[in-house]
Amino acid sequence: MEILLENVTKTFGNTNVIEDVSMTMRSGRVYGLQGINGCGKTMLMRLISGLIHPTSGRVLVDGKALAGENSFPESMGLLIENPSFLKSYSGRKNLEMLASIRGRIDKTGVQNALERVELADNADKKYGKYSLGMRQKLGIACAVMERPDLILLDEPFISLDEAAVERTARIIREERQRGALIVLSCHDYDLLTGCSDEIFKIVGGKLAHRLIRDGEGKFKEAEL
Amino acid sequence: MYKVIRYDLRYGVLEGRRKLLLAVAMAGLALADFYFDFVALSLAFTGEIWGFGKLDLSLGDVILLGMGGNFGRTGSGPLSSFVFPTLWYLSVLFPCCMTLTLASDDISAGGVQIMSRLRGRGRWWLSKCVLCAALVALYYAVLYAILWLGSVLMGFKSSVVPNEAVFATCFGGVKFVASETTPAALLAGLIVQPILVTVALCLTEMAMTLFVKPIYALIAVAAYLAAGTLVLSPAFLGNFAMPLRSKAIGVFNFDFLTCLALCAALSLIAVLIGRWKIAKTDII
Repeated sequence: MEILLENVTKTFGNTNVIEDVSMTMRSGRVYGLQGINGCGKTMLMRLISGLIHPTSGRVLVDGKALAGENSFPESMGLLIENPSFLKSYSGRKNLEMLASIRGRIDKTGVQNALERVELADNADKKYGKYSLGMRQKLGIACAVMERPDLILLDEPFISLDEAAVERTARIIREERQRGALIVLSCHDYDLLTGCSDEIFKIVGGKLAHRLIRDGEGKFKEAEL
Repeated sequence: MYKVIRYDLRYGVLEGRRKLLLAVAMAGLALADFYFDFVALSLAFTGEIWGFGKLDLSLGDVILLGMGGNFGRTGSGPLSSFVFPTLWYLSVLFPCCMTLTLASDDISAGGVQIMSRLRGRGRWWLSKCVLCAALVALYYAVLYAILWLGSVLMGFKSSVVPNEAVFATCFGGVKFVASETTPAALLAGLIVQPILVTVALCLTEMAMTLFVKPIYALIAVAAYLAAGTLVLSPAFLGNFAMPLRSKAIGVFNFDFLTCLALCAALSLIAVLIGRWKIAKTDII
């Protein structure tokens, strides 16, 4: 999979929330997005996911622009901001219901995803009774359960305890090994650098820096 | 597409089952209202308060007296007095409340996950439209089932053909002649037309929620329905949803085929505009 952003700008009113961003992303790598609150990380994720449309420029997935009836990438797992599910159903039922739409995985696949985030013991509780951390775990399980080619994780470590943070980082590494293209945003620089192969620093909606991990595991400035 | 419609019908209906209590409440109100009318009728016709079995009433009488609407303002004669048809109004407005936030709530809940799995917003929207129509049909199924059960328990016939004498007494001497219509036409006028109109209004309202806040869409539909109680015109679909104004009753000409055509056209426009709008909408 290859995602190409060509001079993408997104404007709300008179404000450019994303300005002239161009970047290329490929399978088997983790791309970290770094920046202060409101810099445009989430908007960039929404543009890549197809949830919002660029005001100008294009988002291409494997050479095809996201538009019309195919406004979303074909195989995508998504966790953007707070995950939302049906409150009156259990975490397991929510995932099973969503999995039934594409039919790529069965109940065993859902169980595996719940075990990966260590939510299996609480999977039969109603989602409405979940703590913030459990909701976040369910959101992560939902994003990875169908083994998508593209995984977008916006602040996946929020509300997680230390062990869960480590497990989530492990899941990200496993998914990269599998060949998924992962876009990750995170405020914790150590976590971001620990998980990412490339980091894009965003300032005021523009790409300010691009850092690439070298053979020694250190990040070096690269051409935008 | 089929899978998401199945998903929506299975879980959307289950999620909305508490809202169906509105149908139960509506039926309760209609039966209660009918009960008081019935006591008055019983006294007038039989001289007894509990003259249940002597009046030869039917489900049609319950619907017409409970949720029949009114004859509007026609200027003179027995039809000149105007009483706002509160029960009829509520019976159509309740499903509009039930389905008001189907789309907007879903976008802020699991809808994004569904859309991304479908790869298209249009398919998601169509599925929501199917769910909306299904919920309205279910609402009326519950409502009419309770009215039918109430009628049976009171010893009335299951037929939709009303008692002519009772009809004339209740509606200011307006004549209803059963031989001038058919039970099928009465079934269409008393039961099917309100469902068609409500489905069209709910779809329109749901499409409006993609442009304005849901409360404004509800206010617009409520005002449109209220206007229909005053204005006898096919431009106000509420006229077709009122059993008393249906052609089958014989006073006005709000017939089934025109109702079907107008409702199908409005529904189609709502679905297409909604589909166009959701394709352009940024989901934030």
